[in-house]
Amino acid sequence: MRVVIGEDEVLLREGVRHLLESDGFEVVAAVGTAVELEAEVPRLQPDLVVTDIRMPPTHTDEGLLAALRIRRAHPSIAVVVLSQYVQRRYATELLDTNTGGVGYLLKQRIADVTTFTSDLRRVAQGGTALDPEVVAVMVSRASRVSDAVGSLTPRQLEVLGLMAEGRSNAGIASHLHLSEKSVVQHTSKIYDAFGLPVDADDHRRVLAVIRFLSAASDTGRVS
Amino acid sequence: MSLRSGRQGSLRLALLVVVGCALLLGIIQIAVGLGVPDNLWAVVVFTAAFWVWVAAGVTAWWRRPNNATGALIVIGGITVLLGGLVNLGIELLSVISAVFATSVLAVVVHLLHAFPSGRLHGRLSIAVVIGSYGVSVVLQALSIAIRGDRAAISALTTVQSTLGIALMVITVIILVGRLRAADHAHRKVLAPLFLYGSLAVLLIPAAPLVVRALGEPQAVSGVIQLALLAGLPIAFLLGVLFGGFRRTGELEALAAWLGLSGAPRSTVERALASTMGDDSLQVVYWSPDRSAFVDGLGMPVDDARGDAGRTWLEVSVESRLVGAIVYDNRMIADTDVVRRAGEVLAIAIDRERLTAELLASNDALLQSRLRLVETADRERSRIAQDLHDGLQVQLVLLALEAQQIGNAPDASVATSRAATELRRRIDEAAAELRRLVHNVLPAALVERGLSAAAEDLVDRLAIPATLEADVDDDSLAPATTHTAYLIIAEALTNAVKHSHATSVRVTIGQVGARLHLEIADNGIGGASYGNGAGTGIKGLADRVDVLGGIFALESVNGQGTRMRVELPCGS
Repeated sequence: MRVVIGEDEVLLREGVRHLLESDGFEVVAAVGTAVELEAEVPRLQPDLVVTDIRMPPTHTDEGLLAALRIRRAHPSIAVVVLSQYVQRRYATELLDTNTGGVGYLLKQRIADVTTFTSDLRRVAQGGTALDPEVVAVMVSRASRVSDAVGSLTPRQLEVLGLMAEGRSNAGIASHLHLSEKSVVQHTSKIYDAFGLPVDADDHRRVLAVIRFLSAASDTGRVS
Repeated sequence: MSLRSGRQGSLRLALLVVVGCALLLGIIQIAVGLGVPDNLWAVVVFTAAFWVWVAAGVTAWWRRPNNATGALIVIGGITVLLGGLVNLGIELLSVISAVFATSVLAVVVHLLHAFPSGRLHGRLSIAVVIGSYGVSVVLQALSIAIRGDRAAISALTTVQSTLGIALMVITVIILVGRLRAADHAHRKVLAPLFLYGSLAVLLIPAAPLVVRALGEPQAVSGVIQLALLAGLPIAFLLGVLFGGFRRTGELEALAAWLGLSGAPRSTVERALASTMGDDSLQVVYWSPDRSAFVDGLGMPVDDARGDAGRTWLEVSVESRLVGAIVYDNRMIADTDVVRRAGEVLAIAIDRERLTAELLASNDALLQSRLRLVETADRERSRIAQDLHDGLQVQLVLLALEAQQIGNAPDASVATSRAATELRRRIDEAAAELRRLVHNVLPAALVERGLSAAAEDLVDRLAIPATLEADVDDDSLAPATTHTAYLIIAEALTNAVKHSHATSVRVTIGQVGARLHLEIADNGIGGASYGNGAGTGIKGLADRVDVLGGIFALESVNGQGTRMRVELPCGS
C-alpha cells in the first residue's frame, strides 16, 4: 500500500515513516508542508494520505483543507488526518463527502501501533476511522438532544460509539468481549431507534450512523 | 468678556490730550499762516497732513494700546508739523524746520522696520533705523551749519542721498526677507504696506527731480509729495487694525477675568493668543516625570527651538518650571510683555499643566493595561505553541517507542505487557497535557477563530446548549478574539457550575465594527461580581473595559443569568 505523509515535525515524520514501513506500507513521500503535499499527491497517486492539520506556513488548518481538496479531486485516494486535538466540526467536514475513505485521529493514537495501522488499512479500503474522543463528543451531545439516542441502553451507546469510530461488527465484538451475534442484536436495535434501514455493508452502515449522530449533535447555526 | 480697567481710562485721557494739543497747534499754525498769504495754501496743506498723521496715530494707539505703532505714527505727525514750519516765514522756526525737513522719512523707515508690533527687532533693523535718523536729522543739521559753503553743501547732499539710498536698499532686503518668512495671510497685508512705504521713502525726495525732468510745474511735485505723505499713516493704521493682529487688551483685566471664570482647559492659550495678537501662540506644559514639554492633551510637543522665528519663553511658579509660551517673535517683539503675561498666568498654566499630566498618565495607564492584556495573550499563544510543538510531540514519540519495545519479536510476554502499560500511561499523560493546552489556548481558536472555538465549547458542554454565530472571524483583532472566547468559556462554566442551568444559549453577532456576545442560561440567577463566580467575571469585565467594550450582567434570583458584552472588532 502506497502512502504519502504530511507532517512538519521531522522526528514525528520519520517516526511515522518507520512505523508504517515496518508494518508493510510503502511510504512514497514524506513532506513538511500542505503545499508540498498537494503537489506530491496528484503526481504519486498514492492509496493513502496521512497528514497533520497544523503545518507551515500559517500553522492553522491548512492540513485539513488540503485533505478535503485531495478527497474531492481524487476520490480514490483515502485520507487520514491527524491532530493534537480533535473537534466535531472537522469530523463533520471530512465526512461531508458522504463517502468512506476518511479518518480523523488524535496524533497520540499513532503510539498504539496495531490499532493505528489497522485503522489506516480500513480507511484505505473505503472505511472510516473517527477518534474515540470526537465520537464521545458527538454521542454525548446527541444523547442529550435526541430522544432516539437518549433511549439507548449504556451497552448500546458503547456499541454506537464503536460503530461511529468505524469498527466492524467483529472488531466491536472483540473490543467489548461479546459474541458477534449479540453485537448484531445491539446494532439492529440502534438502527431501529434511528429509523435507518439495515445495511449489510459495514462502511455504508457506519456512514449512516455518523450522519445521524452528526445531525443530532449539531449545536447551532454557525455562518 | 470685558477687559476694561483703570489703565484704559487713563490712556483715553492721555490720547484726548494729544488730540487737543494737535488741534491747538494746527489752529495756531493756520492763524500764524494767515499773516503770510503767499504760503497760506502750503501751511494749510501741511497742517492737514499733520492732523491726518496724528488722527491715524491716536486711533492706532487707542485700538492697540500695547502696540507701539500708534505712538510712532503720532511722532511721524510731529515731524510733518516741524517740516512744514518753514512756510510760516519765521527765521528760528525755519531753521528748526530745515533740520527736521526729511525726518518724516526716517520715521517711515522706522515704521516699516517695526511693523506690525511697533517695536524694532534684529540688530540690523535697529542700525538701519538709527542710521536713517542720523542721515535725515544729523546730516541735515550739519548742512545748515555749513550753509555758506556751496561746495561742501553739494558734497554733503551727495553723501546724504547715497547713504539714504543704501539704507533703503538694506531696508528692502530685510522687508523682503520678512515677507518670505511670513505666512500667506500676513503676507497679503505686509506686501502692499512694505511696497508703499518703501516707494514713498524713495519717491518723496525724488519727486522734485522727476517733475523737473518731465517739465511739469514745481507745484505738482509738492502735491505728489504731500499725497504720498498723508497716505502713509492711514496705510499703517489699516495694517495694524485689519492685518490679523487682534485687539490687545490689558493683562491685569485678563488675569482678573481668568480668576473669576476659573478658566477651563486651553482658555489660557486662547486668551493669551488673543491678547498678544499672535494666533500661532501656543502654551505648553512642563512634565517633570517625562522631562519634556507636553500640550494641553498631554501629548509630547516637538521642541523646535531651532526655529528662529519662534521664541520659547519658559514660565515658572516659585522657580519651578511649569510650562512655556511659544510665540512668533515677528508678531510680538517685546519679550517683557509676554514674560509679564506669563507671570500673571503662571498659576493658571500650572493648573492646566496638572490637567495635561493627569490626562497623559490616564492615557498611559489605558495603553499599559492594553499592553498587559496583549502580552498575556501573546504569552498564552507562545506557551500553547511551545507545548504543541515540543512536549506533545515528545509524548507521541515516547509512547511510540514504548509500544515498539513491546511489539518487538524478541520481547518477552512480561516485557511486552509492561511496555504496553507504559505506553497507555504516556497516552494518559498526553490526554492530560491536551486538556492543559486546550485551557491555555484552544486549537480551534488558533486554527479557525472565534466561531469554531465557541462551537467546540458548546459541543463539549455537559448541558444542552445552542450556538448562533454570525461573525467574520478574520475581521477580529487577536485581543478581541481571546477576550470573547474567555467570556464565553467563563459564562458556560458558570452556567453549569453555579447557575445549575439545564440549558444555555450563546449568540455571537457583529454590528458594524462591534462584536456582540450574549450568553443566557435558565439557571438560578443571582450571579454578581461578588459571589462564587465573581472573580472570574470581574477579571473579564476588566478585560472588556481595557478594550473599550461594554459589559452587562443581568442575573435576578430565579430568572437565569444573561451576560451581554460588546467589544470593538479591531484593536
